[in-house]
Amino acid sequence: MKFWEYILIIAMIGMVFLPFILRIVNKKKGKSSCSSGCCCCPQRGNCSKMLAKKESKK
Amino acid sequence: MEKYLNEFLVNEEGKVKKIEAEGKIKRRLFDMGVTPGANIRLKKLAPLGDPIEVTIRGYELTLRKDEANKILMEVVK
Amino acid sequence: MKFALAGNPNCGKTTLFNTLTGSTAHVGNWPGVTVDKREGTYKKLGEKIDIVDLPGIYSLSPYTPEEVVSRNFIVDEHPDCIINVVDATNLERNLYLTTQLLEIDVPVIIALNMIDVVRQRGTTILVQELESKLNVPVVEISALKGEGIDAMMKKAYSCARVKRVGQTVIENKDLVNLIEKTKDEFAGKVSSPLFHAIKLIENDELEVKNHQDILADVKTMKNRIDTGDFAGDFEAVVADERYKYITKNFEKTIIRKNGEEKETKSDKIDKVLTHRIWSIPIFLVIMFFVFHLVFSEDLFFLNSIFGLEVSSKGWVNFFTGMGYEDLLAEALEAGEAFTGISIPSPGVFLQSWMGWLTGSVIDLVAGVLPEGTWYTGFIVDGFLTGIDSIFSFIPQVLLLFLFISILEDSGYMARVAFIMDRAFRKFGLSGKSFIPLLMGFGCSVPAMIATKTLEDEKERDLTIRLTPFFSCGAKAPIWAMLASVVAGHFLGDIFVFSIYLFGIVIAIVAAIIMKVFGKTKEVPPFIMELPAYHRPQAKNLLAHLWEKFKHFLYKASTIITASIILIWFLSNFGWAFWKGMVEIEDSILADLGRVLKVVFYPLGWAMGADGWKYSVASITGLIAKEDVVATMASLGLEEGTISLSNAAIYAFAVYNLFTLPCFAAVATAKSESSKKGFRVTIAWWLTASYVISLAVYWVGKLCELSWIVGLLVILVLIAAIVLVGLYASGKLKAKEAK
Repeated sequence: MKFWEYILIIAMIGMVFLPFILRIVNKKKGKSSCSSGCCCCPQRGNCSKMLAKKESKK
Repeated sequence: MEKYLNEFLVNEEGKVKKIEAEGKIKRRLFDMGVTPGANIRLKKLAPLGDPIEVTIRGYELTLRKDEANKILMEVVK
Repeated sequence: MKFALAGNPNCGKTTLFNTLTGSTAHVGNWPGVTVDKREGTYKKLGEKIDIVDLPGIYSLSPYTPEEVVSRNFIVDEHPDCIINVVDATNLERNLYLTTQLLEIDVPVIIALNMIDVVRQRGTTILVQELESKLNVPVVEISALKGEGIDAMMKKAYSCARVKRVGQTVIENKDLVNLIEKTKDEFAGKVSSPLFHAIKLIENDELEVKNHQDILADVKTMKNRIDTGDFAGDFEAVVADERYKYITKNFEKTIIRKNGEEKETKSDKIDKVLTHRIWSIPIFLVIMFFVFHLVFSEDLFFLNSIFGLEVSSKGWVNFFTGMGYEDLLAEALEAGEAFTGISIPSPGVFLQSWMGWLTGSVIDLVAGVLPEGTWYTGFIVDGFLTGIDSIFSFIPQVLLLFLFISILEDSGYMARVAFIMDRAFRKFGLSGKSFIPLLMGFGCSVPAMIATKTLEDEKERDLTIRLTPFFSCGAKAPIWAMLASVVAGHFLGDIFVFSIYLFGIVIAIVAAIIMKVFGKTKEVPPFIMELPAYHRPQAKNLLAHLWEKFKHFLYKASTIITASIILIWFLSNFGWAFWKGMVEIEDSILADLGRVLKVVFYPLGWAMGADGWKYSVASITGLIAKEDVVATMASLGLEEGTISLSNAAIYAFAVYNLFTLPCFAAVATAKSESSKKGFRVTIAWWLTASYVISLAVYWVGKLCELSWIVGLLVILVLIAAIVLVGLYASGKLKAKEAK
């Protein structure tokens, strides 16, 4: 197999794991998985602990 | 003549005499300007007869009949 | 410096916020849209000023989350100035909040918004009178037209630098005495002692909780005051005092042109839209119209009814995204002459062109890559085909969102809540549940979170349970795709409309069933303002759409891509994957799919050689609902290759509508529901989808065999539902009578 075929395979495997990695990274940074952003949400960021901290700091 | 707001006919107007509600409903009514002495006119009923739409203090307010039945009114016209 | 925008809902606060900060925050026109504080910066005064947009509130009592957020912010975070945005067309009620804001030790200026509308009506407001009665600066502005904003900010800036002590408008001597004494008790303990004092006298929950010590003294003093008709209800006394002041002084500050009491534009519109008899049919027609413009292959039924067709090459290509050659070839194959096409709706028109775009990309890439290699297979047939299948439907989904946003922003949705509330109550919900459920048409996740505004746990659990039945945006590609397959038999937009309607109807039935077997609790008050209609702003709508599109791109590039890769792998390799690629029918996925096929077999759409593919596709819907269509495409099921009967198509659609939503939604449901509620919800989602799909398939099959028998069965079913409904409401009446 040509070398870039290997690269493609690695990329594909990476893409499969990407969502999981992103979820952990976002949780640490404090981003929510809901798309609306905390402005229209009655929870005011309380949907996750990180967000709650962020929101209460404002 | 005295009657409750839920008994009003369309276009009937009156002044609030007494609020007989408690707790959240009472608070909400006050916040929306439904206080003794306020002028209220029944504007229309929803298609199913309930809720009702009234004109009060220059704006449109909707409330259910079983919230309106706690507002005692003095009919004016 | 930090300024806060405070005011009633619908007073134009958020429009003002957007103008000040240059942001594009979403503006809704009915209660509950802004339920958080938004922050931005105003940069035109040299010094950067932080602007906080507080949620719309009618008062500073602690009864709703919005009020608590605003109140706590103002009292605890000490903004440098409060800009009280007041709707000049609604002065009296707006000033109620103002009188409360004035009691706080913070600089306040009043921004009289919508002054353009006031002038249009020929009314004048005596600003100086207002200023002298309220003791704070009053500035006329129109947030919409951008008038007076800079002047307002300059005024706010100069006010912010001067300390201000809270003042009350209460004039009753006994009360004023009491307030003074209570204020003394608070002195030194809190900021804004006046505010706390008055709230404590009103028996405000938060104050009572936090200041038990002062309460006792206050109680003794209160008992000494004669409140006449109010019988010791100080809350009522204070509210009354505020309004007395407003009414007494309000008269002098507004000069109306003669006949201002006449109908406003909104009233005229409402005459039709909230008409006693016609409002519900009109609502249904509007909704159908929306679906028609998005999903119909035959615009305004011009073809089916009037026989209007387009047959010239140029026009056919225009309307079908370069589809002339294909249609010609199709006709040739069928041995018929090509006679032309119907004019499609905007939604279908956009879809055709999007399809052409993505199709061209696929052809391009396929032309560049060598034939037959594994990676060509993956990139072209797996990845690109899968992504293309959802991308081509995105224009329709966005168009649908656009229409719903227009309806929401214009203020129409508040009317719908008004019209439907009574009906909703029969199902154990209130008009307030309407909001989360409506959000469900966009995405279930924020919709379920929005149920936090419902005070009753049972109502919350129920609303969450019903949310996925209100078909979310991610499911729309499924309907769009199936609509184009069904269209051969009957009209695509009727199909889609019926799916949405079906979801709503079942939600109602489910709610009734649950209400009968549950415990009825107090339904929260429905007292709600009907704001004036207003023209939705293009800027806002586009920004909203862009947000949704960005979120979709994010989803597509991450979880959907990941799913496609997984599906491709599982469908191209056997269990002995080291041996290399195999035919799709011998793959791991096919084996797994065949097991699933057994489960779904009775539902009709899992029968046949491709049955396992449909089964797998439904399962991948758990990852993201867009995956259903993406998986189908990766496995070779597309517009031309789906060979299910109409009954099977409908049953498949219905199964995916009612079954478990995507993981994100399931997780949200879990965190927002009670433990028991969640278990019941999962059970409902699994059972309802199976049973309904089963029923739909077999009844559908009956209809195909014999119209009459099918119709009879449907009528019997409807009769059964109605009887159950009557029995249920009878039982309910008995319950309520207890």
